[in-house]
Amino acid sequence: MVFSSIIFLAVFLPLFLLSFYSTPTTYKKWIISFFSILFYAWGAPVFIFFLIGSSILDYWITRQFNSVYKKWFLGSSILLNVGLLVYFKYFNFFANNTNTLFNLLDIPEFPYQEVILPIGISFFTFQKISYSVDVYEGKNKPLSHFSDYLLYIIMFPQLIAGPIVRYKDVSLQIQNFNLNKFTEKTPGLYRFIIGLFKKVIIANSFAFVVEQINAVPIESLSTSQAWISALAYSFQIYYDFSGYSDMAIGLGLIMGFSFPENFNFPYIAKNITEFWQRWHITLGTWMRDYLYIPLGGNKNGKYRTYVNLLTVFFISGFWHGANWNFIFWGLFHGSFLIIERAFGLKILNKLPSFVQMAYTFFVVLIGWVLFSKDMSQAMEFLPKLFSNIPESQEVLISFKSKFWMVFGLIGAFIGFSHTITVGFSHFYTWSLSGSYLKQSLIFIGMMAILVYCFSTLITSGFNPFIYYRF
Amino acid sequence: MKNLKNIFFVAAAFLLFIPLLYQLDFLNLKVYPLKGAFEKQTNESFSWDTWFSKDWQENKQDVLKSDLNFKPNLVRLQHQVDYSVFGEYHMHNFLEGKNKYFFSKSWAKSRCCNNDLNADSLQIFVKKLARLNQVLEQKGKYFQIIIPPSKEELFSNQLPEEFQTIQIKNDYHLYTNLLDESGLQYWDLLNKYKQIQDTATYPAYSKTSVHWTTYGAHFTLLQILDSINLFFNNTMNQIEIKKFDYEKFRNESSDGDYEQTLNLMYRIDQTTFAYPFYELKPQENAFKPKVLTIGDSFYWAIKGSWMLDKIYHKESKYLYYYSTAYSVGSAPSLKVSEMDIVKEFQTADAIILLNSSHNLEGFPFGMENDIDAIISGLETLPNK
Repeated sequence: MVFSSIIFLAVFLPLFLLSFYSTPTTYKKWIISFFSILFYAWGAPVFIFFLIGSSILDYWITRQFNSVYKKWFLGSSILLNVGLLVYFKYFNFFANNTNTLFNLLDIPEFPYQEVILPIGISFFTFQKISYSVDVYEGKNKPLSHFSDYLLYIIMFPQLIAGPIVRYKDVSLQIQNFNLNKFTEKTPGLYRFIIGLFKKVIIANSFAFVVEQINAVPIESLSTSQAWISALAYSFQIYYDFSGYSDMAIGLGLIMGFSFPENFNFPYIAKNITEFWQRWHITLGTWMRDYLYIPLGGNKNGKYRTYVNLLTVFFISGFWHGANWNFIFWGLFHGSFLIIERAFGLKILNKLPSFVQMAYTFFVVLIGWVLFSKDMSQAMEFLPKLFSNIPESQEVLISFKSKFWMVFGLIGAFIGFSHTITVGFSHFYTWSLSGSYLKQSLIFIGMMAILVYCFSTLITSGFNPFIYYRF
Repeated sequence: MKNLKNIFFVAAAFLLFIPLLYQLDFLNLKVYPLKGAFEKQTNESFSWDTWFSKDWQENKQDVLKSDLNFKPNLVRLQHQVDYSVFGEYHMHNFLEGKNKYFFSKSWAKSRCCNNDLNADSLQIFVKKLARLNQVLEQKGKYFQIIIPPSKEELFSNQLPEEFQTIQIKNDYHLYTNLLDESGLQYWDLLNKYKQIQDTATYPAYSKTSVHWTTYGAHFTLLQILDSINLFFNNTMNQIEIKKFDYEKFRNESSDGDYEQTLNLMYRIDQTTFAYPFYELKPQENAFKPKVLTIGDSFYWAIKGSWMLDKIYHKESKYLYYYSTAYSVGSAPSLKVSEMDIVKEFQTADAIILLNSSHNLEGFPFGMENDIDAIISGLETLPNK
C-alpha cells in the first residue's frame, strides 16, 4: 500500500485517524503498531512474519548489550541485519552475475530460485542497525518494551520508503510519547497534502512525459527528446521521493512524531558535496554516522578519505538497487565528490553561483541517466544528449502536463532564501495564524488540493512510485 | 486559535471519511452515474491463499477504484477542472470545432480526408441492394434507404480549418454515386436538414452532440411513418404531435451526447431544446407492419420516441450496425449472427436501411455476407 492510493486515502487513513484519536494516549502507540502491521501485511503478507520475527530476534540481541560479550552481540545484530539484506536484496544479483561468469568460462550454470524482495527492507534494516549502534554506544537509552522497539521499526509512515529515522532522532519521542499533546496534527495534515500534491500532480506529470519518451526506441530518439526525458526524470524522481517524504513527515506529525527532513531543495546545490547535504538527507546522515565515520572519515589523510568516500558511495549506490547501473551511479557521484575535495571546489567557488548550480545540476542529471537505465541503455542514451539528431517520432505533451511541469520547475528552485525546515515552519505559522477568514481560506484551499489529488488518482491508472522498489 | 486548528483537523478527517460513508451507504445522497462504457471489476473472494498471494488485496484495490460510490463526483470534478482550466477532454474520438461545436473526429476525417470503403466491394453490394429492392417490390414489401446528414456535413463550417476542405472523393460520395448509378431510390436528408436548420426555432442537431436531437430525429420519424403508411394504403395507426416540451437537454436523450459523455459538473450547451409529445391516433383493425431497420446510432433517437411499439408489429427489430437486434418492445436484445436472418426478412413487411453520411466505415457491417441468402430466401415467397 502506498500513501498515494485510493485504498490508503479512502479506507486506511480515515480508519486510522478515527481509531487513533478516539483512543486514550496510553494506547495510541498500540493503535500505530496495529495499523502499521496491517499496512505492511497488505502489501507483503508473507514478509510481515519475517519483519516481526527478525525484530524480536534483534531486540533480544540488543537486550544483551549489558553483558561482557556486548561487542559480539553488536556484531551479531549487524551481521543479522546486513545478512538478511544481502540475501533478500542481492542474492539474485550475485547468482545472476556468477552464472554470467560461469558462461564465459564454459562452466555449467548453477540453478537457483529467485528470491523475492521484502518491501522496505533497505529502509528498516538501516533503522535496526541505527538502534543497535546507538544503544551499544550509549548515545541513547534502550527501549524497555519490545512494543516500543517494534513501533520504532514498523511505524507505517516511514516503513517502506523512509525517511530513514535514526534511533537518536526519535528515542525520546517514543519514550515520552504519553506526554504528547498532538498539537502539530493540523500542520501535519497540511504537510501530507502538500506531499500528496507533489507526488500525484507534479511527479506524475513528469513521469507521464518520461514514459511517453521511453516508448520511443532509444535509436529513434532525437537530441531534444533525450534532454526532455532526462530533465523530466530528474524532476520526477525529486517530486516523487520528496513528495512521499513530505507525506511521511506529515503523517508523523499527525501521530505526534517529528521525523527528520529528507530533502532541502537539492537542485539549487552549488556542488555535488552540497547536493548530498540536500538530497535524501536521512540516507546521507546515516551513511556518514554509521559508515563513513566508522571507516575513519577524513581523519586519516586525504587518500584514505577518498577511499572512504568511494566506499560509502559504492555502498550507497548498491543500496539503491541490486544492479550495475546503481553501482556506477554511486561511484559516479563518489568520483565527483573526490574531485571536488581534491581541487574542484577551489575552482568552483570562484565561479558565479548560477554556473556552480548549472554544473551541479548537469552532473546530477547525467547521474540520473545512469540511475534510471540499465548500463547498455545508458551508454546508448548518453551520446544522444550531445549530438544533433532531429525528431523522427513526435511525442505529444499535453498543456496540462506542461503546466504542472513548469509549476514543478519553479517549485524546485524557490529555496534560495530558506531551508526546507524554516520554509515549512513559516508556512505552518502563516497558514494557521492571523484572521479566522485567512486561516479558513487557506484551509479550504488545502482541502481543494486534497480533493483534486483524490480525483486525479481515481481517474488515472498512472501512478508510478520509483522508491517503492528499493 | 487552538480550537480553530482542531476544527480544521476534524473537518479534514470528516472529508476523508466521505468516500467511505458513501461506500457504506451512511450518507443517503444520490450519486448520478457516469455516462459512457465502463468495465466492471469482479470481486475476488477472500481466502488465505488469495491473501498471501496478494491477489485479494490487488483485487480489492481495483474494485474500490472502479466501483467507489463516490467516484462519479470525483470524475466529474477532475473532468471539469481539465476542461475549464486546461481545455482537455477525457474522451476518445473527440474533436472540438469552432464556437464549442463538438464533432466525431473519425466522422470528420471520413468527410475530408479518409476513404474507408472499398469501391469494388461496395459496388457489388449496391447491385445486390438493387436486386433486393426488386425482389421486395415483387413480394409487396416496403424498402427504403435513408441517409441522414452527419453533423460534420451539416455544420462543416464549424469544423476546425484543417477538416473543412474535402480533399478526396469520400465514402458518402462513393455510396450515393453508386446508388444513383443503380437507380435505387433513397432519401438523402442533407438538404432537408439544411432547411430545418435555417428555419426551425429549436435545434435539429445540438452543438455538443454528434447525433441529431430528439426534435431533429422527429422529422425523419414522421417521414418514415407517413411513407410506410402510404405504402400500406393508410391502414396503420398514426401519431399526432400533442405538444412540445421546451427544456435544457434531457439526460436520457441523445441531445448533447458528447457533452454528457464528457462527464462534466456543469453544462456547456445552455440551449433550450424541443421535445415532441405524441399521442396515438388509433385506427380500427389497424395494420401493424413488421419493420426491420438496419441502422447506425442515428436511429436510437427515432427508437427513443417510444411510439413505435404502438404502430409497428411487436416482432419489429432494430439491427444496430447489423450486429445486435433490439426489439421495438421490451424483449431482450439478440445477436444478429445468432438469428435466422433470412426468416426475419421473409416475415418482415418493411425494410429500412438507415446510415448517416459519414459513418460508412465498415458499411454494410456484415450484411454483405448474408444478402445473397436473404434474396434467395425472399425469392421463395409468392409474389403479391
